[in-house]
Amino acid sequence: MEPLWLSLEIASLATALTTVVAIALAALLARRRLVLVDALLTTPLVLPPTVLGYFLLVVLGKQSAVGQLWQSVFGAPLVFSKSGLVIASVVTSLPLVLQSARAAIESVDVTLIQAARTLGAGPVKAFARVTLPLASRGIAAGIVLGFARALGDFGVTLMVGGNLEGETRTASLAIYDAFIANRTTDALTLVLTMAGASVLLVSLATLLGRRPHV
Amino acid sequence: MRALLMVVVLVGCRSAKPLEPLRVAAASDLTVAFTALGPAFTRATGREAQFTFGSTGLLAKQLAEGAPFDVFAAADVASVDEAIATGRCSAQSRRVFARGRLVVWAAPGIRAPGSLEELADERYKHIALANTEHAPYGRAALAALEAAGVLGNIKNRLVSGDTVSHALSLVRSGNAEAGLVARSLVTELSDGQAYLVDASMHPPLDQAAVACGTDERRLEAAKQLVEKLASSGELLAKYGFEVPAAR
Repeated sequence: MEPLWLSLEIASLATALTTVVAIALAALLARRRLVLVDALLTTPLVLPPTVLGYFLLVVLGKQSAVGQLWQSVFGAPLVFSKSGLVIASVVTSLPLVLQSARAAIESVDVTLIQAARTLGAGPVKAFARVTLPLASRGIAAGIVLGFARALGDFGVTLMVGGNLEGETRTASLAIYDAFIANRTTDALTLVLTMAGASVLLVSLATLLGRRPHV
Repeated sequence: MRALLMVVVLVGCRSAKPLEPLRVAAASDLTVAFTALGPAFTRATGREAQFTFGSTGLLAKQLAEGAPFDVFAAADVASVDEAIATGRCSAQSRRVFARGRLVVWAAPGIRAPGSLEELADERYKHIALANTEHAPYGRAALAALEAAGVLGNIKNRLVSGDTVSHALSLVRSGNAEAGLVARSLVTELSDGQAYLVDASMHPPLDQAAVACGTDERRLEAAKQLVEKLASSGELLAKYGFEVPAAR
């Protein structure tokens, strides 16, 4: 069961980071049309995992300038580490959260925000007290999808994780190993757990994404 | 008349169309050697050889699940015997054609060790090997480290690639300072880059191949390919394998 807890830990850390970044970016992108930024942040949704794996290994690897900077700041390389997998999950799940959050924020009635402003609320307060609560369901739906995406990563984990027990051997990787090594029971247990979790998460996202009955 | 014309056209098409290629599933330590052998395989069988390289365990699993491979070349004999036991491969075509060797390969700018014990040195922060469960080179590497009595010291520095090729790419990109990989993938053993592991330190890495499938004509061609492989000792030796004749 250890790989499941590890997947859960990585996905939770990644989702916490993603949520903060995504809401800030969504607020920005809902007001301004920054096409290039938008495209750049959404690309990981369609990017093959191998491309991201290549970036982590070569562009951000131990021998690269960025990789060495990272190592001097955090004391450990991005590859073969939990933090590397968290970063990878943030990049791949950000578009899901960002797009949902932006759509939710854009759908908030502008007159309500204007009303809050005329009553003396600053832009930050109006966002926190009016926009965010009204957009919360859509944002939450995005967060659930992002979490599900982070939970299931395989490609990047396989390429740069190093398959380290307790560090980078996530549930997806453990399933792959168990399947190839003919450990049928292990594979089946993990497969059923992951499948069940995915169905639950997507159901939750669908429920949250629905408009509440007024 | 029209029917006759159609027959002529169909026959014409058929003779113009080259024979379907053979699908060859091969352990990833065979990547360099098989790619070089490709033209020889084509001459021997009259068909193009299309390669799928991967870990022996993965390919064996895919074959057992019905992957349409005509030839299976593994980095261990047991996997080939299991493939025969599933009934999908021809026992009579089975050949053990070479033996692989394990080397310690160091990343660019890093000095290779003079022994397995030296891997305990701090300059090797990460040591890459193939999957220790389903890749024969990963299992051999683990056995060699254990036999050298160094496994306990470096266990938390070991990182696994999916295949021995993947392990080598982790070293070549400098992300692992050293790796235990196949000599057949690093044919040029330049000084300071490699240390050849004594073959007595691990179970033999015998390479075996077998022809598979039910289509008689394809199976015949696949058998020819395996025979060609079994008689290509000279070239395999050039690529870092030990061949039966030389043993």
